[in-house]
Amino acid sequence: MGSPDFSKSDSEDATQGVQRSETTEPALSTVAPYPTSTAEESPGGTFFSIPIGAFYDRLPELLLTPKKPDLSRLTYIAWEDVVSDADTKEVTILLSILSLSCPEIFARPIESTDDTSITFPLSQLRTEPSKDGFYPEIAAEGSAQTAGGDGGIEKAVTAAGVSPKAGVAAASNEIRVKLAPTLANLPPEIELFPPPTLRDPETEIALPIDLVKSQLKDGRVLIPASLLCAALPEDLKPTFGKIEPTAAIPIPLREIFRKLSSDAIELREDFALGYSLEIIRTPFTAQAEEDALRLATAPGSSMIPPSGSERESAPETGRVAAQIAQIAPGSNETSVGATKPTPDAITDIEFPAIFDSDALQALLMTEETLDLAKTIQKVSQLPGLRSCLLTTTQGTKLAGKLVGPIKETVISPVLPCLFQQLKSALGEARSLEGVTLYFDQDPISIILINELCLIVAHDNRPFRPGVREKLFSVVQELDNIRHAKQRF
Amino acid sequence: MPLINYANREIQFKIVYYGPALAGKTANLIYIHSRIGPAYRGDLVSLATSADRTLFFDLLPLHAEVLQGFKTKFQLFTVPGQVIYNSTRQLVLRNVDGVVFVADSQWDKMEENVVSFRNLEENLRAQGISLDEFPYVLAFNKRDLLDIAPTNYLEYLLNNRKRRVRRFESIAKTGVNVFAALDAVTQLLLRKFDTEHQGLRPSSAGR
Repeated sequence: MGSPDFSKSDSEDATQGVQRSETTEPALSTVAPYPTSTAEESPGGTFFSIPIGAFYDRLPELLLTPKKPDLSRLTYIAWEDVVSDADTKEVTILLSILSLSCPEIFARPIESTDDTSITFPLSQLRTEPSKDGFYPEIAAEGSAQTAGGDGGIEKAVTAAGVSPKAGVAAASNEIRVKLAPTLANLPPEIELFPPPTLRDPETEIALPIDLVKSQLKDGRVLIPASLLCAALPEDLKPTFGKIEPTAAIPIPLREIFRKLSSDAIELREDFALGYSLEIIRTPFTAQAEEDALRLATAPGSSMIPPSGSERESAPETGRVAAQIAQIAPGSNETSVGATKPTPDAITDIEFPAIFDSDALQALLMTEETLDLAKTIQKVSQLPGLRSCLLTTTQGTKLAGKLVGPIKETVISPVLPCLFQQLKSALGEARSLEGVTLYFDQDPISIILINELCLIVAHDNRPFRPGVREKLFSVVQELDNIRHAKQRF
Repeated sequence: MPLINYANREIQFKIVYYGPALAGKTANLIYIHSRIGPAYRGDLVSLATSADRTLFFDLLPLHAEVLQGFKTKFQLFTVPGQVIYNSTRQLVLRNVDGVVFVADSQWDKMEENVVSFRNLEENLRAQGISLDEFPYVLAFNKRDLLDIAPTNYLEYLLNNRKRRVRRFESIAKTGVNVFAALDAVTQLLLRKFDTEHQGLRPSSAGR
């Protein structure tokens, strides 16, 4: 299990699910919609946020990663981990503790020999105002207090803010997960006496969604024990209060993904295919094809070979392919020695940066210079259409976005395969030009020309007159454009 | 860079199956071994512990004739997945031509997948190789299990780079997409070889 990463991606994160203390200045408390709490009420559950830039320059350079982080990004630190000085208006924290809050900026774990005190101005502790203005700057001038003193936590945000009581404003910033799986997966080093028992196995806890999202790229989500403790039902808090507040508690990913929307893990759009769709036969192609048939490889697995007829009619391309004289490795089940050197007709899906196509401009009734993204955007604006997505027949996204209840990431790898299987099953490839599927009230149509697949979400009615034809023409023209690029 | 022996008219490609512990790397090789005719393969050499954990590496040599007049050997290696064996992984990765990264699809293995993938990138970088230009494919293994992450999350973790590579949903123990992944990485190797060895013509290569 890696080090916890409690950093957040932007300043807005700091506003989520926070509570203000009782000693908050009157002007602020009047706009704070959440119940108040004090550090004494939730020991170990009190955090402040601070931009990494507030202390970055004070860190030993040797311990930092070469890549400079976004200095405006907020990180969370427990109040009890710092000592603040009201006279100097400074806060001091041990480097080893600080590194737990933002491990990603350090090149390696901080060892005891590296440890040192890091000091930064108290005025840097803050949360940014949220869009609705609930949480203005909290580190007002002259408000510094000693962390352990009476009211010294007034500038802190408390983790208890993620409690289900947090209110409507916090709801969109939270993700609620079942508590039971988290308790069942506590790290072995955390021993609880008495073992926690849930009155209701369906009990949920609310966690800051950005804290969760920011860790998804690491394949795990950890929260500090103090945050878990603050979010727990009251009857469990005493049991968890004994845990080291900075201990990392894993939240099972499957629980998170039960609630998380698919846009939390969107793939970047500025990608390039790292492979060519022009297939050349290798000594293993025959086995791969055989296995795909024998084992009925699932759609979307990136391995649906084109049909035999498509193979045989394909022009041979590539010098290596041309030199394949023999596919030598045999198979226990089939003889592959006679396999013909026939690469497939699938070609690179590459488009010019800018299209020089009067036909496409005419189709979309625009004089704008078009590129792939703009073209697909224009297509999605055709009457009756809601959104559209262009993929390859292997499900690789080329442009556009499918919005609505049907998850693009789920449907886009499946539909081209489904279409191809339908074509193959019908045995009349040319007669099948498009397919419309109905998901409740959300129809989706697929148009496939060669290796391009246009997936369109549209109104729950037939296409408006001319739209279907226009879609076909656009895909055909895109196919022409990318073939033209290949010729050059 | 494949080894080319002009005297023996032989080209040798090295493909490494990389990934976290117990992801199914050895299972891939076992399946491949079972499906290739004995005339075209050597023995599967496996250095494993009693608990079937790969200790050093597995090696499966395959022979073919891809380029006319040249005997082509594919050496398939696995690495030990356990984090502590990094020096072994670095050793096995030396002179690697392509990688099949075998990820474990189970939910609780996501972090191990990420750690292993970053480790691959690091180890390649130590050899002066950038993953962004290196031939590799992804195999999301164990798709037959129940408690698995969706492929879009695996893709988000392992394939969300500027260069997006081919990925396969595989079940190594039954062979689903095992050859497909091997075929795909081999295509990348041959294409790269083709680009880098324009001057190598089989007819004149024997001189």
